[in-house]
Amino acid sequence: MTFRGWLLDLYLNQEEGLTLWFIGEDDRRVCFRQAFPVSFHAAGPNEQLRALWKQVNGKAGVLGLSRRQKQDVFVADPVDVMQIDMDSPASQVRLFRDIEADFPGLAYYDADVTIGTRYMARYGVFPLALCELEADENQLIQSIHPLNTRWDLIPDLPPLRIFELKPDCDPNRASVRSLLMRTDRFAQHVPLDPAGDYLRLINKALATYDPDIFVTDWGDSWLIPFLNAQSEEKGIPLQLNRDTTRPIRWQKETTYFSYGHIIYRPEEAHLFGRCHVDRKSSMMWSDYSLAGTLEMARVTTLPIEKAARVSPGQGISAMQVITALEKDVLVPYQKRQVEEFKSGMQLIQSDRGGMVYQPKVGLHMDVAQVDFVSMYPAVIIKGNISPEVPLPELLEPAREELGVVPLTLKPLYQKRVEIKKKIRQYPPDHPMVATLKERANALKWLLVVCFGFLGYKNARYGRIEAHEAVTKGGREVLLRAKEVAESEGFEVLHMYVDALWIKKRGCSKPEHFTDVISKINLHTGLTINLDGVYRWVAFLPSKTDARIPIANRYFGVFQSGEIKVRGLEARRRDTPIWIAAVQKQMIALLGQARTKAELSACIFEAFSFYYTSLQKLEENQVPVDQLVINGKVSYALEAYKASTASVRAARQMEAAGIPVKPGMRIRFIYRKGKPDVFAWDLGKPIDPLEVNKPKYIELLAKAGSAVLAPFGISEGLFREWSENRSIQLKLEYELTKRAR
Amino acid sequence: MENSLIPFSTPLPSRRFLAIGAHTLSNKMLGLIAKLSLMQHVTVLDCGNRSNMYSVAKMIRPYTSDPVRVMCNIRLSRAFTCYQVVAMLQAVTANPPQEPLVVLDLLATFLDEDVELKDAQRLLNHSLSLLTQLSALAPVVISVRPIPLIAHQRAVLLELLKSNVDVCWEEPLALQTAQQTQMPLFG
Repeated sequence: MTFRGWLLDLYLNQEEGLTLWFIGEDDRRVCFRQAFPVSFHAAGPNEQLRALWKQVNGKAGVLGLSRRQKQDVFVADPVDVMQIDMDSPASQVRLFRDIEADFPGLAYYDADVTIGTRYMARYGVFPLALCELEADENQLIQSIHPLNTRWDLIPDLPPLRIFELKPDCDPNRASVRSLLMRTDRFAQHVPLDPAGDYLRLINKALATYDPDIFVTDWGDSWLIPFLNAQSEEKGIPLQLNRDTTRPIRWQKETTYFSYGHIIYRPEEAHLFGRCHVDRKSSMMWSDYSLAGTLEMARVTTLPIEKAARVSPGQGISAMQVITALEKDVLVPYQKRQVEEFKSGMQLIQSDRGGMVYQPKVGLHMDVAQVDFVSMYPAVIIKGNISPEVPLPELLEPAREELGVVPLTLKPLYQKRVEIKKKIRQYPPDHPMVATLKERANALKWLLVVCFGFLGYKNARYGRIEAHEAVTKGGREVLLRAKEVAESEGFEVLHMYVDALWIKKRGCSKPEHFTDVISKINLHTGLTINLDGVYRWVAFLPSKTDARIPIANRYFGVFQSGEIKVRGLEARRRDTPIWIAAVQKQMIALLGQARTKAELSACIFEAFSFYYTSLQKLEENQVPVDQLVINGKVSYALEAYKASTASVRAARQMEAAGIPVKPGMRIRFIYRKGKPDVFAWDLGKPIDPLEVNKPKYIELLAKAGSAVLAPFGISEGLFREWSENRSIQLKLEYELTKRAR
Repeated sequence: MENSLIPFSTPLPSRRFLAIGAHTLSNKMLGLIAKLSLMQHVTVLDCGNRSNMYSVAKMIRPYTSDPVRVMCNIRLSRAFTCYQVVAMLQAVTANPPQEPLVVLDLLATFLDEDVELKDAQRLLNHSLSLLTQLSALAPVVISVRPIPLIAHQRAVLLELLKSNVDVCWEEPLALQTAQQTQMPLFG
């Protein structure tokens, strides 16, 4: 039979090899199976390879052994490898586990490639790809081919059935009383009655609606464990999987280090035949939501459930492996290639980051911000920077044929540029815009991490020299841009890695910057865009020394009225919601000023708003949940010698029997007396009168003074005034002196 | 360039030296590299991202009119996984230096929880045998930090290392504490 449909889920089975679920063009959900033999490779000393041959020859699942020559990306000439052909991915995993233990000295290739990645490399089929397949009467796939590609701008997507289930409150904070079930056809509150009728209702709804995507809040950490336990306890069946022969697959909790942060990921519940997406476990959900998650799954070939949860680094890694497999390049299991020796002097010259040109502190009018479009990915593509390619001379590639890394990035980069163009074709309130933006955000994150991945220790196609070559290219590009801007008579106020802030007397409209942008494009060979022209922008100094400028700490308002804030409290994840909101509103009030002359009045308005907020805090009118600090513990609690507020709160949780893992977010309130913090996730109520108001006034004053500092109000005086109002604050704004 | 707290006086004999201390005694080890580089070539294998060459340049500056030449006396490579440590040592052993070899933060990558302990032990054993070979030709100075609490189950690696060196010096506990505690401002 011939079948056309979209691939939804793919997983191993012990019998045929793979199980695949499709959404048919006729709206049926159909399960197929497929035989999927795989190969992996071993290289090393001949005597060890001979011993390995003897050991595996004739073992269960082994289809054949052969000697081949294949390309290792880190070695100039092809290497001799032993190819081991296996009848199924499951046998390959089992055999590899054994031989890795017995022959640790051998180098292995293609040994731990995920099944989705292998499938994509062999058939070009990826999650949500529209496919045409031939299957026999036992639903065994005989042939399959995709009808679209990962790079389609507006892909033909299936009509997904999305089933949402969430508790009525944060289960870490309060007792859940009901669950909300929602689909495109119905919405229903389901009370958690002692008899367990809610289990029957959910089960019936799942069976009737038969969702493809099961979206939850706290599904991994609370909802699914709770439902499972209740189902068992009450003896009421609950079938979350579409594949009824399988139980839920639980992936262990984990703590890992990523981009300077310790991250904790709780246990994950994975389903078979449909996808579980827990919004609270999806680290990038706030950035790109479901549309971005599906885009991520399509381009990276990660399963949807994984694409929703893991960092974009894993996506880039999968994409590089596909590129390598498509080029018939070996995928190393353990990277052993090391940095070439360099002198101390060479290390000083090469081990540098992005170019930063410190800002001119203070308030500036009519400033343009110009940004390079995905600068580091563009440098990688333009310079053909890849571990196996000789390094470029600044931006000039050493050879034309693209290496694994730029070959992976190029279509991704082009797709994002095309999506951004598409967004500009629609009016801002068009329904397509939100979806396109979410997809563009997902691609942006993949592009962002690709540079870091070149220097990541576990990246299969990472190489520290390539990583350094990218920053070197970036510095060169920025310097060229600065030279062009200055030769055109612009003053460069600030440069930060891939962006410049420039101004010139008489230039206040976007069209005044068109020429300089074209010239920068021409001289760098990279695309630079006008982010916008600020009515005014304030670059802030260090908190500890007002004479020292701080890079990337500023706020300003574009001519469109859009506000941009970087490096302030409002951008920090640990800032209480209310304090962030006060700071944002103060900036918004300042942003009403269209001219220098209007600023004085706006400063007064911003200050008045601050004063009103301060009074609300003093009069206990701020809801306590808006004052929660979102802290974090990076290590096991016993490793802390000094006790920070987050650690003290975490210890309260541990004492109450709530396990605390490194990387976990710890929410707390500052309270009066001892203990001085109150762990929010203990789930107990806190009397608003217990809140440590002086501490919050201090935090509010810091946030407020950051906004008013460019207008000549010192943090010290502002804080003193906020605490006891015993001094007089001068709010006059001397425009001629301060605005440049 | 005070490194007298590490009691390894130069010139060093061709033996294996181990220095254990907080932050892998980074400043002291960089001081040692600076001191050696003023006199001769020195090979540095950095296993824990500790080779701050700006610090070394600052240290040598008062002692030379040609800091660039002295910095070029330092030959270094960095490893970010324990597999790379082994590969790096194999590469050095294939063309062994006649000048001192300094290995910074040797155990850092072996504490990676993604690498099973038995694999880490096997790879460390291999590394130690290569270091032993190298120490026959030139002095080998290794620095490590005490095993952190979070990796206490890997303390066996430090014991293995200790039993495979000729001279072992541990920073006294009182010294470590003194460095962390600020003196009282008054009385």
